Amino acid sequence: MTRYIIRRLAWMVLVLFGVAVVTFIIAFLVPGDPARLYAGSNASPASVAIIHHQLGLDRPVYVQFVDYMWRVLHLDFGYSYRYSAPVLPAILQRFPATAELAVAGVFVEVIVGLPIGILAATRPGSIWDRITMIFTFVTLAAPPFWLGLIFLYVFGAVIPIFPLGGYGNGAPQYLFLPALTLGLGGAGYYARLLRAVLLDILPKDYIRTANAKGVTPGTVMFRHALPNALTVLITQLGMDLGYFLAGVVVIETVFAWPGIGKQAVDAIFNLDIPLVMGTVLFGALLIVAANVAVDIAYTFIDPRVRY
Amino acid sequence: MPDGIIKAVDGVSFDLYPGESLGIVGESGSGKSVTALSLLRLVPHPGRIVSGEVLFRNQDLLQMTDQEIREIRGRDIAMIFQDPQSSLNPVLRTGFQVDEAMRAHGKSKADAHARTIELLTKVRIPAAESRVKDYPHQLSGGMRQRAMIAMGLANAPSILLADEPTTALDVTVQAQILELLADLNRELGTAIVMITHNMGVVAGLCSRVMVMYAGQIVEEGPVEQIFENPQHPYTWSLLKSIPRVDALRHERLRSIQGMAPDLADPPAGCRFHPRCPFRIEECFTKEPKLLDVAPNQRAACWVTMDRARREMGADTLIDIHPGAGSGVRPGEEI
Repeated sequence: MTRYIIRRLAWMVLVLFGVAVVTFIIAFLVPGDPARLYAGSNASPASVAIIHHQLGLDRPVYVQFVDYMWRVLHLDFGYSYRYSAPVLPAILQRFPATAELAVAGVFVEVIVGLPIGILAATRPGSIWDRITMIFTFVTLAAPPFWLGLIFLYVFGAVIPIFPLGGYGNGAPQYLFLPALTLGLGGAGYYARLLRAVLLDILPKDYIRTANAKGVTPGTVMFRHALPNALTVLITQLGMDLGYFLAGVVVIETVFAWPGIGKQAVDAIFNLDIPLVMGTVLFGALLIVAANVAVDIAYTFIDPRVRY
Repeated sequence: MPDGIIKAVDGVSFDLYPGESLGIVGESGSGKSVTALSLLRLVPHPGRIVSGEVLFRNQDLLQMTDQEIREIRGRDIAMIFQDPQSSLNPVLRTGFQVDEAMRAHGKSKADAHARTIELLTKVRIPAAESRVKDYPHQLSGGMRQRAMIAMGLANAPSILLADEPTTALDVTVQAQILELLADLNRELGTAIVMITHNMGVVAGLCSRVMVMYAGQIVEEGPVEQIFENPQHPYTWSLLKSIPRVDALRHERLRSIQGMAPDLADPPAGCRFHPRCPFRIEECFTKEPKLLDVAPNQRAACWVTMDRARREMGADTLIDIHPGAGSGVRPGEEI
């Protein structure tokens, strides 16, 4: 087990190295000159050149690359052009808001999705099954930015029970709509996933054995069927959480949620390349870490899995 | 009959007496398992029981509420299944799964646990105290099957339905398990319904046997009597296809020709007629009823083996292709 974790961590470093290479290349290929942007449109070529030099952009590409990778290895993600401050603290400062939203979003996915999936799977073909599957189809198909705007309009403007975006220093009513928007699409996905997995599990012999023992339908579902479905659910859950933590760009933008996703969007508009690259790397780290966590979680869920 | 409906079991009726051990034999797909599952209303979706009665202590199990049948399941009538690999839940500890059979019927956690260890010892699982903590995949096939039997016996049921409990096991383990079931039948008076395709298993364990073919009973009676003097050509052919140590050297082992019929479109008349060496014209059109052929023995056949022996030379027949004895050849229009 320990050896397995060490091996996975080594792989993680390799993957992140790959991500760093790719982000560097993309950043290099992106059109636009940050120095010109910061110097202003009336700046003389001389002052643009000075800024170029200050940002280190006048060096050959391979020197910039080696320098960047060396600093990344030391957890130095560089200086934000815009804030003239180190990138990592800027990300970490915004991260709690994103984490809060991500966890709440996953919570909505589970709280809404799982009961629907169970309901649909226990009565396949019934009216409940059809209604819930139409519901999940709609939530899956609705684009989050559109859903977010509709929620804002209905519950923020027409019936003003929730604030129109912002963070509100962590007050729960500010979290509600963004979390709902974030989680609803996933909830539909989870409902369908769980339904499919359960429909596969419920005809199994060990479910018949449980029924033959005379246990209640609730016990059959929650003790015998669901734990066997967990592996699939946890896989998806872990990936979702990693993905959300890496920054929920659209929803943070719609709700003016001050997370790293919103910050990254702003950084893109400002050609603040180090901040963009830093956020991408940070997100990649979280996604890869979530995957490792999921693989380790398997050993707790399924006794047959051993590394 | 509407499209897509298959009568897996049709018109099956039998009695089971306290402490008895009844064998139900037949080929795969003959309706043995469905018969047993029907008794506890465990027929898998989309299958259902269209009509019938299952009387247990003068109550019809088919008319009970879900709650009432749950109380019967596992407590009064328990079932053990073939393939213990798939019949035990892979993510729950073996001991827990045995405990659960008792806890579902009101036993306390501690009592159930103590009895689980006692049961596992009784079914001869070595080191039962530590084995209870194992997951099914950590046990051997034989141990899993024993754990399954322990689960079935947990509440000392009046009836144990055993659906091919030894099929997946090698012969020595198979023999041990049959011996175990026979002991339980003797000591605890548990009535056993043994579902199998193996006549040898029936001979070793059961006092009465019911032979099923294509969803129907074709013959039933005391085991010794049926083995000695089968009256249905299907039973006769089944017994002919068992290798015997004491057989004369020239006696050939015979297989039943043809395939079990498609139950979506069963043959008219007697369902066995397309494969029967002794078929006569009636067999193609008229369905035979299960009638007394000897004391305690009933068979559903227009001919019966007594007549086949007398008139068709059944005992000297070497090739038993359809119509071989009676001269009614395959493909002949009647």
